Amino acid sequence: MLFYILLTLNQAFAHPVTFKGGLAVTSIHRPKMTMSQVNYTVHRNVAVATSYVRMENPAGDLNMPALHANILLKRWNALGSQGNLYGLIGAGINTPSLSSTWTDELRGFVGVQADYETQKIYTAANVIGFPSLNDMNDLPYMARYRFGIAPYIAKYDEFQIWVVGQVEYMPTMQDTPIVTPMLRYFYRTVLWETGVSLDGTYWFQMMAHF
Amino acid sequence: MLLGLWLSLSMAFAETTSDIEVLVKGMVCSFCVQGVEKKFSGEDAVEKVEVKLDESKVLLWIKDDQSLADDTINRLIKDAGYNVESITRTETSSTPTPDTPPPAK
Repeated sequence: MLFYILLTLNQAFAHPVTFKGGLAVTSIHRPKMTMSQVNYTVHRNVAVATSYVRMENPAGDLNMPALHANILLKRWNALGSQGNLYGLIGAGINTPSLSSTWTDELRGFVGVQADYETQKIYTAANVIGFPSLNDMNDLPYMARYRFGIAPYIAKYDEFQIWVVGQVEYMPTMQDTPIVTPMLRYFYRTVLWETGVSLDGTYWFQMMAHF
Repeated sequence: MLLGLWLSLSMAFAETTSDIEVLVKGMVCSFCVQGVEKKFSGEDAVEKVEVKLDESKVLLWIKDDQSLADDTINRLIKDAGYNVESITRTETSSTPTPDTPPPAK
């Protein structure tokens, strides 16, 4: 079953681990959510990363810079396809706004991500949580699943477009899942995504590798 | 005229045929191409590297009097995050192992 899920999943929202010596920058923006990350791959299976997370929750804001490790737990390489399983672990200090009921505190930064891609399709799922170290029931998290199709296959120097559908669930922020169709633009090592959810909120992501 | 044509074809062939062709498992996007190119570009023996994503191939041109061992190719591909399926060398390419050091200057 897990293998089937991985086969119907793929390439990520961010690349947690790239290549040894590789630097990746990614930033996701929504009206009530921001998630930015810079990671540097120190080993082919491990990257050190810093992230900034903002979530505007009715119960309290998340406004948290974090340090964490991204670990490639397993990679399946085949001719023309790749599947990955990643784990993310670290911590950050949440400094919510003055109007928030939450207070400054140390929170965990933990996540898991699975993806699978070929040159024609990609699919990915991830869950990232920010548990309070004082109260384990206080666990804001974001979960995403997406599926993308490339209408054509571009070469490295050519402009590539993907059509992507995404479902997000951030229960501390919104009761209902957010469904977002979007377009992904890919040129060399820079990627952009733009979309508008079915309830009218925008999605923007930028990713670059160096 | 025939000689001229033969020479032109020979030169074109010499310019476009790589010394080593590596079939790689796991390469699927431009980010993959970048990682592989960076790894091989840092090798002294490599004159030129080209990645054919649609064919899952890495083409390598090796400098005169130098060579690149299979072990080195395997290590570089692995560091980039992928796996080697096969390594094919043209008849004119250098002996695969060990790496030939650059000539003394």
